[in-house]
Amino acid sequence: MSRRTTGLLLALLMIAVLTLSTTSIGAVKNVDVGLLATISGDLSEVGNMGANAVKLAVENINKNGGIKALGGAKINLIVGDTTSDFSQSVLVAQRLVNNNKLSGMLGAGVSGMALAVAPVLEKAKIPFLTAAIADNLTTLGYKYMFQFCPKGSQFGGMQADFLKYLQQKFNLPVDKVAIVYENTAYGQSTAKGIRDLCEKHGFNIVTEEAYPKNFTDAAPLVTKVRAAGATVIFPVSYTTDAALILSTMTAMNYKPVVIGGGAGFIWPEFYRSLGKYAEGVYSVGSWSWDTKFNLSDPEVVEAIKSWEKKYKTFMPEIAGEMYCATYILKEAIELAKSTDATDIRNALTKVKLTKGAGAMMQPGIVEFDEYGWNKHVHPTIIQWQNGVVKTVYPVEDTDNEIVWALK
Amino acid sequence: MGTFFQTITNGILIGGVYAVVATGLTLIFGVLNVANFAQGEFMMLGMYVTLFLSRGLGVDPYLLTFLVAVIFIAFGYLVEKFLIHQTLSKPHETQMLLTLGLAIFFRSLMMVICGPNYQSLAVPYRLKSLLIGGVLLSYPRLLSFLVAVVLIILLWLFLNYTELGRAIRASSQNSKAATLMGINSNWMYGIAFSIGIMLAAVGGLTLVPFYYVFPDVGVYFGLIAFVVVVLGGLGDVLGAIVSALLIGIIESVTAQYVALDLSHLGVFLVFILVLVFRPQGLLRGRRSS
Amino acid sequence: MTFSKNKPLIPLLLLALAIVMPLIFKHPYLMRVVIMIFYFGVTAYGWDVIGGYAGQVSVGQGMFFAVGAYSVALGYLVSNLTPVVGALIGVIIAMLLALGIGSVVLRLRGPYFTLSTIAACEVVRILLLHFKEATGGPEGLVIPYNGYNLYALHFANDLPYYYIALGLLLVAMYTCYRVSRSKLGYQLAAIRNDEDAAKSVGINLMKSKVKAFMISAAITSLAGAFYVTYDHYIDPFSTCSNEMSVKILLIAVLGGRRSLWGPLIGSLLIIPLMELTNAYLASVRPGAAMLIYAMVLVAVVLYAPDGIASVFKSAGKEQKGDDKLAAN
Repeated sequence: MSRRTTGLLLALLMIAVLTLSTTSIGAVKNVDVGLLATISGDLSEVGNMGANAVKLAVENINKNGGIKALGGAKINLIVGDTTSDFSQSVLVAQRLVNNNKLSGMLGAGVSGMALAVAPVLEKAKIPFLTAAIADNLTTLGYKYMFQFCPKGSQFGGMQADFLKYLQQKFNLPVDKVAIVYENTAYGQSTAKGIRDLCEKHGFNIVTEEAYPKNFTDAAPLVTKVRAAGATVIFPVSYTTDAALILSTMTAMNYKPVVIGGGAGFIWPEFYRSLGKYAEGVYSVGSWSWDTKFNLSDPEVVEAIKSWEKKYKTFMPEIAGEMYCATYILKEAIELAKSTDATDIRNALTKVKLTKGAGAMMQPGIVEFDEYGWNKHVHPTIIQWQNGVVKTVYPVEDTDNEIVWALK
Repeated sequence: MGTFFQTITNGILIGGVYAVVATGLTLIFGVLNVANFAQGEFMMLGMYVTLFLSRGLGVDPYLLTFLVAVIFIAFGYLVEKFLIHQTLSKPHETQMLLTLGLAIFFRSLMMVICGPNYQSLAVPYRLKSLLIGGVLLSYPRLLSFLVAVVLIILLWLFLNYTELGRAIRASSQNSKAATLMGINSNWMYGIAFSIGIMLAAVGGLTLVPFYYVFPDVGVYFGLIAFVVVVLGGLGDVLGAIVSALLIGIIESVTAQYVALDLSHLGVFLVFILVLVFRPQGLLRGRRSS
Repeated sequence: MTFSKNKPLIPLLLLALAIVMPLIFKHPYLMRVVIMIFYFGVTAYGWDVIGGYAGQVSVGQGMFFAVGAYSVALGYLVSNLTPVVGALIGVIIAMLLALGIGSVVLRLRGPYFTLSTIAACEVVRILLLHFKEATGGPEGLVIPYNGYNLYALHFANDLPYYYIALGLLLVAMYTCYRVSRSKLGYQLAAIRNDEDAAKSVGINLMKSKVKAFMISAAITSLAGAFYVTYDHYIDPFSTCSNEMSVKILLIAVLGGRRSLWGPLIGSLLIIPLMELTNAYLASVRPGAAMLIYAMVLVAVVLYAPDGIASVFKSAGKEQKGDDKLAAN
């Protein structure tokens, strides 16, 4: 390459970046909504499921007449791939904020990404609805952060509560429990909740350990837990490590009661990879498709049906959450009767949703407290039954029966 | 006591896979003097090819060993000839950067083609295991270990009892002298690289029945392979095998008796200790470094 | 070197431009991109001291970045230290870390140094993850932004951050320039060319190489230290990782080693390229952006192995000799 061509290339690159910074002028009637999702990189599985759900929700909203308070304005979705590198997430968030007049921002998954981009949105005064579960998200004093899903500590608490319920209902001999969690923000906050509630219920925690995400071999983990004599295991895995742990347990002939920590345990891939061995496994989840509320609300049924039609699986946790987030934002825009981000932020502090897809988080009410947290929400416990996750706890959310108390 | 034997067994079984991948790496290093940072990615490609062939043809992955080996020998030869070879006369950093670039390229290529999802293959014996003397041997892991052993024995026979193998060893020990003795070193480079890549790919193949396949799967394996190679002494095939098993055991013992999330720490600490006290590798006699 | 004595005008003009530009064009996104370019430029200059001048390829610079960032974050969150003090502590820790690793490994030839920087970075990350009470573990640390606060270096708009980053960049550039012109620089050049010859003329190989590694660590940790005041969040995965270390190395090498402008050019190339591919390709197909990025890398390695800066340099005749020296 000659000096001139290289110089030219660099100049072209600069010009191209400049074009990135120009404001796109959408049609007057549109409402611009941003989505930050980990579409590529290590966390892309969850990012893509979340992004697909938001796209589907936007499609359905626009098909059903758009934002009625704004004369049927359509939602225009702008997707940003935050990658799994959080220093890049910040740039992407800033780009979306700058190049569009956003009315709101949705964030799929992972706490690290939410924590990294939050200051950008705070400074730009754009409401941010995130599905991340870290406990500290809404305790940092951010005014534009809205956490509509259960917190990590609630996950753990629900798992321990459920164990108590199982113990009483089926007379389970629960003397020793093991907590193993992946060494990520997700695992750490969930494990903390399990530990606290197990102590409260008087369960004996025989081992509590973090394992490195994407480890090459689950055998040491299984050997260790078995050697500790655990009869109940709470594994928390965000990714398909879940399937690896379970298949190794099965292969090593170790069959404790498994109450999984969400995410990896309830994605369709878990069943695809384990088949019948997944049957009967319990897991906590931040959302499940077949709660009483969801099956009785026509808008939610439409959501579930359209997902099943498009992706040929039941609607998984993160997809349901992000679908719900899109509708929460839509309802807030309806209430604000404005596309101004600050008006919408104020509307979000006032919404109380009790019907429609905006209320599809358990228990069917969405309302934010002064810290921006959806104060009614609680997780559910599901069980794999015939290849599908079924809600089995808490009892007020479902009529489903538990199959095989003990595997 | 049962737990202890189980721990050691766990380590040895995973060590077999490390051994295959690392043997390939050390061979490439020995002959080409190139630190191949894409070794883990070649392993990943091997896993994907195995997965697709096995699904497409409906045969067990282990029956595909020969086919996958042939595919990757050809592939490795092309990569060496058209990419690696261009940089052999350049400084070390250039080769390192090229292989790093290739690693990122393969990872994103598979991401584009197959998507980010984790995939796995349902083989009938996936969740079966044998109980021998109180120690549980997971069936696919045991098979993977056996294939690794067979492969390494074949490699050893090849390196010691064939003309080509001896030539490779000669180039590995002293490239200049080998050239003087009439060994065509360009040809040697291609052969050594393609065998090295083939070993990585077949190592990947043995993982498919019990592990999952995703674009970033090779990253940690690649790193471990380097640790193994340094531990065994650069370019030392036998050393690589012994230290691979050792690394597997260290990992497993640290996980069992210290803490699960520190299992890699144990590996890296041993690595650093070896660098301090025996930089020529664990098995080699003292040589001036 | 391109601080040509007969043409000091161009660098001065560029500097003036860099100072005045953000006052004229107010564009938060562009400014953020430029700040990022500056920060990664700083890390690349840091890399160049050990990887370029000393010729020892480090793939573990992420750990120094993390040390700087964690020192500031923990200093502020635990003892309410201002980031300036935290950064100094970070620099000291990073230099000690470099001293420790360097004095063990820099005596070995071959790929040992590179491999042990990778391993050391892994070890630091595993420790950061394991000691959760002290470091926040995988959840990382948040320095919440609750409005303007000069003591904590929190600003409502990005202009002050821009000047901090620019200042750091100048410090890093100047340090590199000084190193290249110092006695240490000449010793390193001699070592790079022929270790045995250098030894025979009485150069203490270890001392020079370890010194270079410590300077490199100090610069990199400064980048991490001030970056965290801007980003408000740090976790082990995005700083103390192989990805981060590789990114730093790529920027430095693609830009051009042992050249005053190389690391900055590398950063000017890579950061916008990542943004562009991210913006236009990410939604097309996951991974497409990185694919393009990897192809550019392979192409540059094959066709312009001395980096982009060398293309500019070769036109100026007086640099020819220096180039030759560097290529060896």
